[in-house]
Amino acid sequence: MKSLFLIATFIGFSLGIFAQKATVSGYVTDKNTGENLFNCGIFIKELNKTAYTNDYGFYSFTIDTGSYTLRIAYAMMRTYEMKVHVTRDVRLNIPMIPVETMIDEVTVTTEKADKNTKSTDLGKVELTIEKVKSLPAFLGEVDVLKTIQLLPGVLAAGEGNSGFYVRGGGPDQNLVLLDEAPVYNASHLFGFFSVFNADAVSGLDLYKGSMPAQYGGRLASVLDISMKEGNNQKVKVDGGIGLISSRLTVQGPIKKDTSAFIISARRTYIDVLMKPFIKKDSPFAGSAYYFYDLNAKVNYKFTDKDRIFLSGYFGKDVFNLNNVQDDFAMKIPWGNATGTARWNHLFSDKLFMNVTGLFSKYDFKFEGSQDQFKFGLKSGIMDYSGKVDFQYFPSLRHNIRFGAYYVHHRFIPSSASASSGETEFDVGGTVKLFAHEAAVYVGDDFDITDMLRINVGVRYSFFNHIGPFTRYVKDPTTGKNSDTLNYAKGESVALYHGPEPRISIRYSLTQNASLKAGFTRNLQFIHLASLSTVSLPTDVWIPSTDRVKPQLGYQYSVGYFQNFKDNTYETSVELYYKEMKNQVEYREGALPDDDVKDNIDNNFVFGKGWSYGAEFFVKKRTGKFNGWVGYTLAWTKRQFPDINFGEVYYAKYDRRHDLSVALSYDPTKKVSLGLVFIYATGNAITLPVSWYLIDNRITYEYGQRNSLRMRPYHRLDLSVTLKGKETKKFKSSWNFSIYNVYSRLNPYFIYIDSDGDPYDGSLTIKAKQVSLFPILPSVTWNFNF
Amino acid sequence: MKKIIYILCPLFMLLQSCVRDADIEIPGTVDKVVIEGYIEPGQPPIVFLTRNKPYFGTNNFGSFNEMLIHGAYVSVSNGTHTTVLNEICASSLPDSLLPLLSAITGLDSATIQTIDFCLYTTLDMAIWGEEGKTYSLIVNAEGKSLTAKTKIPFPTQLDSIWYKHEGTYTDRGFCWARVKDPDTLGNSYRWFAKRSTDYAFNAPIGSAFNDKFINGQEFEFAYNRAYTPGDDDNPDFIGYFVPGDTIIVRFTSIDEDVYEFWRTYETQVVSNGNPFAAPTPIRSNIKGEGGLGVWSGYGVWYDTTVAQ
Repeated sequence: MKSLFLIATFIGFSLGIFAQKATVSGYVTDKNTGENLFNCGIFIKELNKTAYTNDYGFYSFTIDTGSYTLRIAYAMMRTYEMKVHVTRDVRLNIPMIPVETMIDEVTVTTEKADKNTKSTDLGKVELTIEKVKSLPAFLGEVDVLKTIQLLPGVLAAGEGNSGFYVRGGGPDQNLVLLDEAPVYNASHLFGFFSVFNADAVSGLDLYKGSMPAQYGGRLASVLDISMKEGNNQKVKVDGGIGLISSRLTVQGPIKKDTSAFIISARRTYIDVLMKPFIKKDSPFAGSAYYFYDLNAKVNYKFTDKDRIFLSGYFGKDVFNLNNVQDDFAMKIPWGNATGTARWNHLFSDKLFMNVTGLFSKYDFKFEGSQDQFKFGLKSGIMDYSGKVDFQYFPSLRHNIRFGAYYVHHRFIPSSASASSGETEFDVGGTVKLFAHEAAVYVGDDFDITDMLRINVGVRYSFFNHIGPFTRYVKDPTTGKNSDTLNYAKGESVALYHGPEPRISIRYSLTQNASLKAGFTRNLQFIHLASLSTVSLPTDVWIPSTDRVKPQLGYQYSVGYFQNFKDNTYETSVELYYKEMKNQVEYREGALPDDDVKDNIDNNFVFGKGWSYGAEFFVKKRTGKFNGWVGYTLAWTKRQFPDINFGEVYYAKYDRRHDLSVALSYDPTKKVSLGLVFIYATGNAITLPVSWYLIDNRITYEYGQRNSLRMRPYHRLDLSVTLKGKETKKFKSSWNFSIYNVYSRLNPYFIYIDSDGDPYDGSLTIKAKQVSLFPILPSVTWNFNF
Repeated sequence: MKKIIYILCPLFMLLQSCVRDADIEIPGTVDKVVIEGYIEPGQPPIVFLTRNKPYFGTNNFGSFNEMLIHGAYVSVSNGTHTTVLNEICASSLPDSLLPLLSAITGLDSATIQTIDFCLYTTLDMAIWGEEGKTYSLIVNAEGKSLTAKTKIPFPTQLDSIWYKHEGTYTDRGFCWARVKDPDTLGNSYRWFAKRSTDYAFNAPIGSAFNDKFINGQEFEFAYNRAYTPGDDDNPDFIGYFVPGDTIIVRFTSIDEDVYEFWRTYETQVVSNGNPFAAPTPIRSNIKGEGGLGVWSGYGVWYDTTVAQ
């Protein structure tokens, strides 16, 4: 009966059109740069409703003709209020004027920044790059991934590591997008730095809870990072010189108001700095490590209805090691490349289309030689994909999205080559795996009543692993290869498909408080196989196969959101429960060379996982003093029949308590202070429980999986940014950061060390803890003109 | 692959790290029987039985002697003949047999005497090793019944061995060998070597390999010298042979389960303490609750060269 009433109400709203309707639509841009502003709220005072710009800066709403007051608010922009008299469809492009400094009075505004309580977003966080830059940075390198680790429900993968885990999901369960192209390994130097150069990034959205239907392919989260579009008004140069790297960004109009470009580059110079310290006759002369990134983007507005964007990222890590004396040489290059070609088209004021062609590639290579032995290893993934997204705004109450997505995957899961002099070892040659992945989706975010808003959608996805493929069949009793099955090119090896319903509901309790609930079912067809306990560039991506079933995740979440003091303070409590099926791990004791001349998935075992927790978040949005405190209480468990004797164990990133404090304070226009504090339960680890002697050596017997805990992790970082003298043309600032202020020696890993002789009683065996970073000050000089 | 890891680790350490005693409580389990047994052609089976030891944080451990298991029932069968092995201890042997014990255990005579080393073996020649035969081991000790099987494969002969200087050095190098792997897949090997002056054969890390990548091929390979007691006096030469050494190679063929044991054992030796490696549990071929270790059959081929 109740639902009937709801439907009746809904139809009443939709059909009860007695007044004339008109559509107001357009783009919201930054006046100074011409860049589109996404997630920008346009508040219609008389209706007490807000429309938002989409990911491309476009908004549209249809209302009764009449007079309205629009208030447009955006971070770091002057709030804009205008009266409009709507009599017919109108195109209203809104240029926003940036505030001059962080403490400009205008930012201390009482704007209707109540998106967190009014939207159906559950477990979603938006961050601007300015916020990211206001916090202390590790070694002076501003890193968006390290900032999102400070949000509740998001855990850092380890000390100084940019990898992250969301709500008990594995590192492969995060979809990281750069201008819509997936980035498969988002880190440099074993995770210490992310591949995202903060100067090239404009902002990011993180979905850790209710993922809308337009996203898919991962269980845990989507991190959608947008690159800056380029300034179409004037040429601008930004740069920075830091301890370990330098950055330079140039942007400007190709044709004023119509087209713009941006190029951003970053390179580390550890290799250059280290050079004087490595003597020419040192055995390691000629060894070097560095990485670099390049981001580039151009956009062109043909008309108000058609725009194209081309963007690309290219980054590489290079690690070379030579030891002349031992005749030993090694090269390890790895890196990502992505490309995005985008066409935005307006069919009408109400129908927006985005067509995208995407390319993404991640490669890892290892080449080593000693004497006449040569050894090579490579792995990688390459995607070509295309997608089309439509957004339809039939009325102010509805925001309908639908679209389709296709990707062609090519995987190289660890292919090795080896030779000794003339003899080539048969290590199986390069194995390539191919797959098609596709999805269609539709979703609507709409008001049922003024109190009740619902975002409902469904995604239907397909995955087809195709030949050529060789399956090594194992004898079930001996576990040895007994047969091989060969699939021809294009022949279907495994086909999976299924629905992914998504729903989230917001119920407003008061103007400033709401309750939300969400449910999602997600499928994930590609998997990251990791042998080691930390994330490494050697981790390999593999598709779902006849043996590896797609990962399946369910998430249930509820949240209470309340804002205080005219939305100056945002608070929320979110609870979640997640179930993850068909989880993949290497079998116990698997070794890297087990994969050679075998299917990598023959070394996998399968099980399930679940996690649950509560996230508390308090944020002060505006003012001289702003920032947030996040706390997560969570449990993350796994159960695999073939691991830990089938008993339940804690995932290594099970962290009972996780507290993050991120604050900034701007006492004057010239000075800005930042603070980060983190406290987290220690990682779960596996250590030996006993030792014995074999071949006169100490040998260890390992205990239950992840049954021990390292000491808790905590750390305080501080930073101060001092602005230099500003001229109209040139601005500069000094940033001083201190990482780990009280030099806490946090455990990075623990190992067992033995010393002495077991035969004369002098043997001691101790657990040793390795810590990576003590107090680390750094300084960076930034400039722009 | 492992090699990068070893090199990167010290690199990181060098940059910023700090090692200190970990503040962690590790519960110990102490109820296992550790078997280290082997059999080779023309030789009696040899079985060492020890207990595992708990990990007690920073305590010192007492004498090795308390790890030895005495009075166990140990038998070996070749399918047609079964023999119960006798426990023999250093204290009950004449001094003239100590070098033999050193060769078997890899320990010097003084240590053997001090700790009164004991092992299980037999003089019953009917159970001594023969190529191609499978040997079953039964151990009943400390309330546990353990069994294991191993085969002595027919040895694969080395074509030749020689010494070669390493890299740009002129005074040290490795021992090289050429071998033709048989066409059948599944041959596994373990390399031992000693200088004529050493009292026992030693296996360097990485001694176990199989023909997964090299099936049926003829190829050359090299091994460094295994660590030998006394090496610390001359650390620059650890791992190297030097001109003048008489190198005796004992190239053994092993079955696949024995290979899995030694491979995982060696992986554990090198991966312990490495954050980039997963903990490596050892794949034992000992069956039964509460058993650790290995029962290895070795098909043996010897060759000798003088380093020049």
